[in-house]
Amino acid sequence: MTTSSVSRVDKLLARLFQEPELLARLQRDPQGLFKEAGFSPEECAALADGSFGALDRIEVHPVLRMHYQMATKPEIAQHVTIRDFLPELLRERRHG
Amino acid sequence: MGKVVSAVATSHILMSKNGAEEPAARVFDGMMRIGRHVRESKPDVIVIISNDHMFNVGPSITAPFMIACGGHFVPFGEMDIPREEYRGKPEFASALASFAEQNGLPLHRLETLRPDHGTAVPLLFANPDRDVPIVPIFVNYDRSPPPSPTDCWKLGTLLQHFIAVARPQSERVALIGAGGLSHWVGYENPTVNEEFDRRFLAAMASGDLNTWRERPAAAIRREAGNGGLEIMSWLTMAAVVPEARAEVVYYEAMPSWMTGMGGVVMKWRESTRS
Repeated sequence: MTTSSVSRVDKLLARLFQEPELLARLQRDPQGLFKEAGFSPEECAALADGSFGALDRIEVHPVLRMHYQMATKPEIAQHVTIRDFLPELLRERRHG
Repeated sequence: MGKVVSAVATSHILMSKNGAEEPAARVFDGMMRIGRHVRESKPDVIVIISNDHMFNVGPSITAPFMIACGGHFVPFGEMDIPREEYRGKPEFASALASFAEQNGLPLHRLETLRPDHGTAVPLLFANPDRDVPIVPIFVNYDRSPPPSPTDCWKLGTLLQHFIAVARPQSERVALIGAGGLSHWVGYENPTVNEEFDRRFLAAMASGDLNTWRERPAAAIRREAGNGGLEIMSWLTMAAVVPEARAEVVYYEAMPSWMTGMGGVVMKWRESTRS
């Protein structure tokens, strides 16, 4: 496996959906989490803004920008879901 | 030698129907038809060529290609995908990884994997009873630079040879290329490049893929977005069955889903089928 250098913001965002307690902390006390992680004022401001443009400006990986929005914007999580299709998919099973 | 009994490609996401009920229904119907096509081919194993979206493979992993060698996989479960277990086929996956290494195209082995939507959504259609073992292969579109279409074509050719020379005679293999079409993940004001999508689908249908397999990844990204790179998973699948031609099953430009949604099944002329 090869590795590349990864920013501290990306490192933290990549763990959001792997560590439920980290996700909960982000949702409960984002600024406390960012401060503890040693993020710069510019990084904290961009994360507080949360828009793709703001995250782009601090060079968050595009896929992790999506993770961040799914974690922090309930309307995104409500939209990016397969929930509407699950009943039909479950009916497709032979074994119920 | 093993036999490819079905080969398909499809977008690998679904989102809320809200405001897009009719096109969403057509997409769902198309994905259902593709899934049934796979099931009706009665495969012994499903090889799915897709990508992880950083739910398993973090930004520090820069291997261009990966293969999941585990014996079972429970989906990551984002997007409300059921966390129900799929069986893997470690013997197939390990043998393919060794074959690839011997042939100069190493695949990074993932010993554990919780498949995200890129793998799990197509399988909800193609393997709803979870009774066919799966072998996930990932193209790492998140690395910089990403693998090229030429690299992906080589991987598909390698997989073709592996199935032909290294698998048991009676083994029935289904292939799914998953991802695309045009979409910009993580950018403001994402659009859908319908012209690009239809041009690519037409090339898949005609089999005239030479220019596509020689294109730089950067050119695809420019026209189709970072998510549009996922069409290389389709090209990988197409390289396994170069004598087949795609029949387009569905296409919808879906601005509210921020992506072009499309799917094909590969068809063989009888004269080309051994």
